[in-house]
Amino acid sequence: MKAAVIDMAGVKVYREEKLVLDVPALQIASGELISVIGPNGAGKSTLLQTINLLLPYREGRLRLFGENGQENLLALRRRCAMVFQEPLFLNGTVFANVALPLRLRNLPGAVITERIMTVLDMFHCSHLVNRQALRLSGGEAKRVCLARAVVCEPELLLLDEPFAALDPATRKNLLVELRQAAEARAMTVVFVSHNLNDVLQFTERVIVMEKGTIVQEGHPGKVIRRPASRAIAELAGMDNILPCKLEKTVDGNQILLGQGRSTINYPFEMPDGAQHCCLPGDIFEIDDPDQLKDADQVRWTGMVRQVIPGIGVFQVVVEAEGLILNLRLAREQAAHLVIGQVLHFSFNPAESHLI
Amino acid sequence: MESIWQGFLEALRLLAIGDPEVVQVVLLSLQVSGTATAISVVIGVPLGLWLALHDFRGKPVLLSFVNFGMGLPPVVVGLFVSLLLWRYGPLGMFGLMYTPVAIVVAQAVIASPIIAGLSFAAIGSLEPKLRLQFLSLGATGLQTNWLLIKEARLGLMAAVMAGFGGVVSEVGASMMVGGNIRGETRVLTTATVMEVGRGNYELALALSFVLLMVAYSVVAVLTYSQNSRRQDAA
Repeated sequence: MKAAVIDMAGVKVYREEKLVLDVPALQIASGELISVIGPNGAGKSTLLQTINLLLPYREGRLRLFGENGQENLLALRRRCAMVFQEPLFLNGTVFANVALPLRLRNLPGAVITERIMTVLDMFHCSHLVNRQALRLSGGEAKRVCLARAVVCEPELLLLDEPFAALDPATRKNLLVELRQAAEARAMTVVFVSHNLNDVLQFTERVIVMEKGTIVQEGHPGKVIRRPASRAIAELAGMDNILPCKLEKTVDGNQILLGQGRSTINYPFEMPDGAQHCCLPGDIFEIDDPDQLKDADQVRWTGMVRQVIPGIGVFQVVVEAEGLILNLRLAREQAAHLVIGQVLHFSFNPAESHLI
Repeated sequence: MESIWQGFLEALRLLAIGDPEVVQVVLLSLQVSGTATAISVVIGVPLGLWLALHDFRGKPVLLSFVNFGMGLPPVVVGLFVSLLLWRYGPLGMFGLMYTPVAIVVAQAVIASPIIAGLSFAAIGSLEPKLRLQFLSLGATGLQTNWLLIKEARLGLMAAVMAGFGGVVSEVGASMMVGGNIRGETRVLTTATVMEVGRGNYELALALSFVLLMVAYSVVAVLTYSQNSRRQDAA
């Protein structure tokens, strides 16, 4: 493994005597692109500000670039750059704003001009150089913010929901540009986002936060299918989050859904205290009722309530077993469905996830 | 109405001919109130900045005192400063009573809370994360404070104008600690009060107009510079 740029152990941050961040352990390697997701108030921004040494931590150990995060704050901070959700510009031109981090480091004028033009070019905003920063549109402002952060060639780039309130096309383009810039400069990037699509596009490792602590860590694909909590399941866009009860009988474990109207045999370990059963919409298969199926499959019959078209995948809302279910079906399977039609479908209980 | 008009004309005449006594009073007023304002900026702006950037137990109490101080009655300030500077007072050994320095001290006490309170409001109205952004971009603590002051300069300029306006127009404290001594501590406000007392309404009106013109000229210069910066920013 490459050297750890961030190494946190037992870090606790308090705000007005209230514990707002508790990170038992976190390591981020040099050059890694990592995302942080979580609901509002989960502590994502606090984590970034702590890593950027903007918030003091009272307990634990934080090592940044292998150095103690309690000493030489300015020198360590100058090896990082952070982009906030808001543009936070100074009164002045784009040039003056992008020049600010370089001027704070007392770099010579010629170097400043050269670096600014390079970085503005990288984010396709050279034409904005003489514009007033406070008059930029949302997309332009974000590009300039990224340029301002990257211009000082940070080893660690911290992004706090930088693309919130941007349209999907602009987000996508900026993510591509940002990833290229990060890879070209071998930057380590920690990217906080609410949008799981952004996370999937940008990183291969995600940290999930809730109530000020890390509750899950791993590949974004795993977080989508196996979220750690209901809040994360909602954030990840889980199609079906169904209240449930668990029963352990002599015949095996069972999940009771729809106030006990429906039962799923669940031959796996049951987590204690689980109250919801997550069923991703793409685990369902449409059945031919006459065809024999694997006995382990759960087979349900329901009525189509709504068909929502999409590219490649249609979303079909079905009422079955006293439940309203969202199914994701291939276009060729869903396009011919009509409202009120009876639908036979099945799924593998191993694909269900209890939280 | 006629006397007001005559007072105005007299004011213009006094200024036009450069009446030595009026010129001396105007210059002393500017000097004293300008110095007091400058001292208040040095005290009030950092205090306002510190209050805006720090959270601590008892901050609301301190803020309430600053806000209360913005409306301190000049007469009360004059009385307390007199007690301090009086020959037998704690600072009596400096012999400052009835000197321009005493007026500067009293006016600085009046203007400092005004400038601190309005500076607090000006810095506090900035986006709270701006400070974190500056630090994150690699600014030192001093660089961050300076950048915040530059960003809040329009509001800070208003604070300076309010502070200057407050002290150049006050009379109670100047009269009590300065004594309105001709050629030494007579400023425009104390001179006006004295002329009213003597029944010289025309001269009192003339001095009032001179005071208004002086106050307006200083505020106009500050306003002009505030607006030119605003246009730069737009």
